[in-house]
Amino acid sequence: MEFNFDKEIQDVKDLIDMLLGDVMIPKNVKNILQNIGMIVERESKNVVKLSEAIYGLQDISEDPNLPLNAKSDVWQLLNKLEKVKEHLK
Amino acid sequence: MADDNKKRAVVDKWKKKKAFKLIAPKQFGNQEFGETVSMKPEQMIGRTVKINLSILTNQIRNKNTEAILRVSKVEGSNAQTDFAGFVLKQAFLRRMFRRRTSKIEIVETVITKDARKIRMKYVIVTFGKQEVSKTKLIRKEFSDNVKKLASENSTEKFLELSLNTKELFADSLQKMKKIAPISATEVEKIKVLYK
Repeated sequence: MEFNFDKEIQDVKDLIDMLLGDVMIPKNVKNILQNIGMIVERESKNVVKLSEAIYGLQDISEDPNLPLNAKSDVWQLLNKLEKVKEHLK
Repeated sequence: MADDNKKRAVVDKWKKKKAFKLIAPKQFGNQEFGETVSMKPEQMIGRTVKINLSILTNQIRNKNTEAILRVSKVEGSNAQTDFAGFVLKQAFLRRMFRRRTSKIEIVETVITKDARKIRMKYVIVTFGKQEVSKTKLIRKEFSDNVKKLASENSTEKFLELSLNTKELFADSLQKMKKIAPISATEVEKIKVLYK
């Protein structure tokens, strides 16, 4: 399948919005997600900033307070961000 | 006699059946999304198929919705489907309600502009437990608004509207702001009635 940069970024934004709207997700996770959302919004073509976001997400995914359904969403987010980063390299 | 019976039993119905391509409705880009089998094309009309909406629209935000598509006509080996409603996933709904919130469920049948009946069930969740008098007010306001919207729009338009609940309930949410704080609204089930 062909890589579509704009679509991937839009998907990432949608996923983040969905996670932020979920009541079961703890506040500390939401704060980190908000920062990642801002990075994706403003500097989606900056590889260094994207790496920073990916490290933040990896920390989140090990959080024991995160519900399982949200965990799978976080993994999906990670997958998409990694794809975008590889494309920009 | 025994030989005759054996011969009759061999007839394989499966071999008589043909495969037809399922084509998505116009608002989802007329794309092919699956196959179904049938002996005669007429037998397929009225069949319903459930499919995740995120596959049809290619948008990840629709991943908790399952669309119901109904075969409306058959042309050659293509079976054209109509959008006949959708259902939200139970796992997603269950996550919406928590302790110390009021859950208001409304089930009703509305009639659209083109005289089709639609049965829908929607849920409203508030912040904090609300008094019965307030929930009654909310129920009345939302129900009136939905009935009015349905009578103004065609079936297709109304289904599309109900996919985006914030747009569907925009007026009611604005009005109810002063009465009770509402945290979430969601259309749980919606179905076009063909009979």
